[in-house]
Amino acid sequence: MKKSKIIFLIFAFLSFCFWAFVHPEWLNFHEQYQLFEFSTDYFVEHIVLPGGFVVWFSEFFVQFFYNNFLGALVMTGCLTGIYLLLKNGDNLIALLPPVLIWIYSGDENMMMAFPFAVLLSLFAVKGFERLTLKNKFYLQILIVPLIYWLVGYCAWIYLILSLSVDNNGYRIGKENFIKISALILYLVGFQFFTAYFITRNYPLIDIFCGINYYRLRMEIPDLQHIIALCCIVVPFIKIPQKKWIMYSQLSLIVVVLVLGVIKKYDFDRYSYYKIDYMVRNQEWEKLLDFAKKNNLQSDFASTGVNLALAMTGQMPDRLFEFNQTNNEGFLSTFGYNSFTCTVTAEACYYLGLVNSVLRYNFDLQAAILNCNYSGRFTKRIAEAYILNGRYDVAKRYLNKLKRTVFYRAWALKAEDFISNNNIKSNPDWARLNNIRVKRGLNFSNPHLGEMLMYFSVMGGENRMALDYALSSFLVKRDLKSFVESFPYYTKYFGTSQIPKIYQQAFLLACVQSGYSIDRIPNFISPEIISFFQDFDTAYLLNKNSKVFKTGKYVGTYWKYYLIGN
Amino acid sequence: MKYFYYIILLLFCFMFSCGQMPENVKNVDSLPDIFPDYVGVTVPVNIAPLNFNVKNSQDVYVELSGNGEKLISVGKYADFDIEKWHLLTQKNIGGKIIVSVTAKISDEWKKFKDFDICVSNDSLNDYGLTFRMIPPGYETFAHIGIYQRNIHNFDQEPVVDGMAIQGDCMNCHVPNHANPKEFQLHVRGKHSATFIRRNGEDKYVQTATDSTIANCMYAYWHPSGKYIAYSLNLIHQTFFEDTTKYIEVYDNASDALIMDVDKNQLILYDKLMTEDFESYPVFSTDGKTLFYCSSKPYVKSGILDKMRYSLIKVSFDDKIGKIGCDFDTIINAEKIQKSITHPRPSYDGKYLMFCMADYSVFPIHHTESDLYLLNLEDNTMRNLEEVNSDFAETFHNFSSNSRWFVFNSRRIDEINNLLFISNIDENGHCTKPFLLPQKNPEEYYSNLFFSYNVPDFTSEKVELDIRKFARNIFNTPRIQVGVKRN
Repeated sequence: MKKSKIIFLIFAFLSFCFWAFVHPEWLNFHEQYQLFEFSTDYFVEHIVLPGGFVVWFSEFFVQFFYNNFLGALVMTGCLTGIYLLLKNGDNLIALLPPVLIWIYSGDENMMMAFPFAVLLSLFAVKGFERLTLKNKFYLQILIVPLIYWLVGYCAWIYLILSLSVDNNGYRIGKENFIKISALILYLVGFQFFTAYFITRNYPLIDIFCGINYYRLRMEIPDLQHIIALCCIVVPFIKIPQKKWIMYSQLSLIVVVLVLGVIKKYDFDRYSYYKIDYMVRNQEWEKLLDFAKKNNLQSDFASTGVNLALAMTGQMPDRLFEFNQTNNEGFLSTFGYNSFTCTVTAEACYYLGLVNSVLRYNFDLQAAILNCNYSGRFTKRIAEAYILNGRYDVAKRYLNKLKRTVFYRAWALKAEDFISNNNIKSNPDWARLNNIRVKRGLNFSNPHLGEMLMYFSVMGGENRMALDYALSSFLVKRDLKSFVESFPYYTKYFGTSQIPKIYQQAFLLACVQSGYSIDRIPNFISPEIISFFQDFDTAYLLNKNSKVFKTGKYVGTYWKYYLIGN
Repeated sequence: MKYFYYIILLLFCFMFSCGQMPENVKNVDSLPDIFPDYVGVTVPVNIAPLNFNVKNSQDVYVELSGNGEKLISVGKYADFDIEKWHLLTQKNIGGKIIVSVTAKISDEWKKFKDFDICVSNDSLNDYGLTFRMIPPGYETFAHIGIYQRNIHNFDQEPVVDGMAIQGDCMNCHVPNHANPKEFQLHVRGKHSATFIRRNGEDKYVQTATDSTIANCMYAYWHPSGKYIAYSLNLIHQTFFEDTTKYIEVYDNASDALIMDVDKNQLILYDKLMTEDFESYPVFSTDGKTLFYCSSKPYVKSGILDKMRYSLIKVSFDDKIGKIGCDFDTIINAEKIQKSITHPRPSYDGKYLMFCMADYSVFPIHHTESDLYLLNLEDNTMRNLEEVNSDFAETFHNFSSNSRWFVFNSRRIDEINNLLFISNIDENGHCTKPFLLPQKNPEEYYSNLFFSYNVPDFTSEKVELDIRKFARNIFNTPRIQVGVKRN
């Protein structure tokens, strides 16, 4: 097998593994901000815009990102497709554009429409190359605007390459230079025509640089233009077939890839996406391991960690093993974007705060900058309406989901439940229906503990809400509220197995109130009391001692209360 | 091969056939179950066709007749030709169009009882409606837009859309007496501005000052175009976990003032900036009176459900821009234990329409909110029972000839605000309102994930160069308004 083929296969393998195993959250991120519908309206909505077809085409493929392996296959297919269409002999330089796209993809606002536009443009070049007509040039008068309409600004790649290729490869001579210049003017004219007569509602930069190539309007990164330029230039490059040149190219590409990926896929940002991904897929233990290993410190991470702790019943035992911030680490206030409250929205769902599920998901959906719908958010909205008994409205959202590949089965099932007025046969909905409060509860983030206490007392038995409430008092160092609320915990769950952190907090409250040992309630175990005495001695001796940072007191409430995280 | 072509031809004929003709028709002694409910509504001449769907039907055969004219629609739903429909309404001004519906339901053709659509003597010559379309959300809206709809057909287009100024909120497109050449709208967010168009001049104004509590918000033009009355509202929201009520929107403070548009100056009046909350100021049609709503500040003590707004009026001298001292509480909220909001005078000066709810400054989330009409000649008011429903009615406005009004109602699904239009005669009697017509109403409204908001009539099409507007929103320095105390 030729070396270039081996390199190609390695590239494809690495690409697949990268998205399937290293950054599946990238796939999740892209999938959750679109909802590809199999409907004529959905297609027409897209095709009426220049470049709209490629957006539709890319969204069709992005829906497969729902599954990591399919998503990784799509990405690999797209990148290797670009390479194969640019490949000129054994030249490895053709790997440069896909490698740059790989790097560019680290910017989560890059829309898949861009790489697919590159792919389709190159494909069109090959198609045009195969045409055997005599006066092919005149056909370009029709094809160039058509390609522009289908793929947007990547039509430039098609225009220049299709007019530069002949039997001897790519070159620009005097004759095709005039043709290219004429068609460039023609395409610019067509773009202006489009801008002023068809898409008056879009900024000019979008018309010239691609609608929905990038999630943020009017802020298209230079890297996108560099990649497009590379796709035009690479086929013209002729490199002698020498071993050292090949290795030099390979080294250059590897260095660019590694450095680029490290820079663009920066850990802090992607750790957020990872947490969101794990929350969505209910990978609670994995999330806790990830947070512990990387000592994550942010409100967002705390929201994910606390949800994972609650879902695994570990909240009152392990809460202070992790960084805790404030109420924002339990349920965040809305961040005016489509991401930072995704985990909070999920936490509200599991807690049974149905209207908050609706509110957060509506706002998350309304904040999607390219105005797409989200399958994930739409599903939760439908569920919230079902739980509120608004089946007619829920059906509207279910109809949307029924027109998709991956949400269809769920939507049909949900429709079945509501048609038979039998939502209680869905265990999740039955639970949420039991625990929710029907009247008299205001959502209040500053008074989260009090709100959740009321919620857990007035609703059905809701251990999770109770743990959230008590934990939020502890994180706020509000021992008074904790002690006042604690009887509700013992009322529901008895005093035989009080979690470690609650015992520690209660003991601390007793000590602060000047209780002698014999007055301390007997649900606090002697081990905890003796442990506290050790802690107290160590603390009085030297509160800056290393033992509080790495030793046995890490994770205790006393350490958090007196020293901090 | 020949047969193959025949089959293809047959398939095409089948695909494009216009629906079945009724056969073996069974007469039914009830009205058809149609969406929207257009039974007995009154429409203006040349309104867009009142297309409708018959619930659960496979095919429909609908015959309209009146004054010798006939119009037939055969298909999946009643879909009338626009020109023929217009002709039919023209021939029946002041009369009735008889609607005869035959529908195929469960493979059986049924002929229902006929019903009427009345064509009013009152014309509606305005071009159409302007309104905001807003997705369901509470704190953010990336896809928000102000649109205009030609009410004589189904054309709808953006006046300005969120696509053009991404991520920024737009609200309160307010024309002066339905005049598209004189209007204002706000942009909120990073590129905050109040856009004002008057006398062919556009300007981008910054209305926040050190002397005022917020940006200018709810607006109403003085008929001369020289002034705009504004309220400044510190808006807050509280969210409920109830199964029926999700949200309450309220002000933490609010004042009213008047802007001198030519001088770019806010005129502050101590009496409109009191400890009480003043909101929704509007000028009377002759420009000599200012109406506004006012409530005691119970919210400051945490009591939301006592926030009831009275309707107050005071004289206004447009020559010197001064309000008088003759404050008169027209409707006392404490007395009637109701809250009055969104006052809107009719342009003929006869009436003032407003919303009344149990409490609140933002009745849109109050199912009990109804429209009321105050007769300005004898100060009598009445509930517009013929128009109201069990759900929230809000955001009403008159057509330029004051014979029609548009309003928001949640009566279709309780969730989305949709637009209804009703006729009001010179004695203040209203007709059964009709839902804004759409080409295929069921398909349109069941796939609609947006609410209509702040509708108003526009006498002509609003011409706004969206791209230039967006460019200016991003780049043009704002004119900072001055302040004058009066």
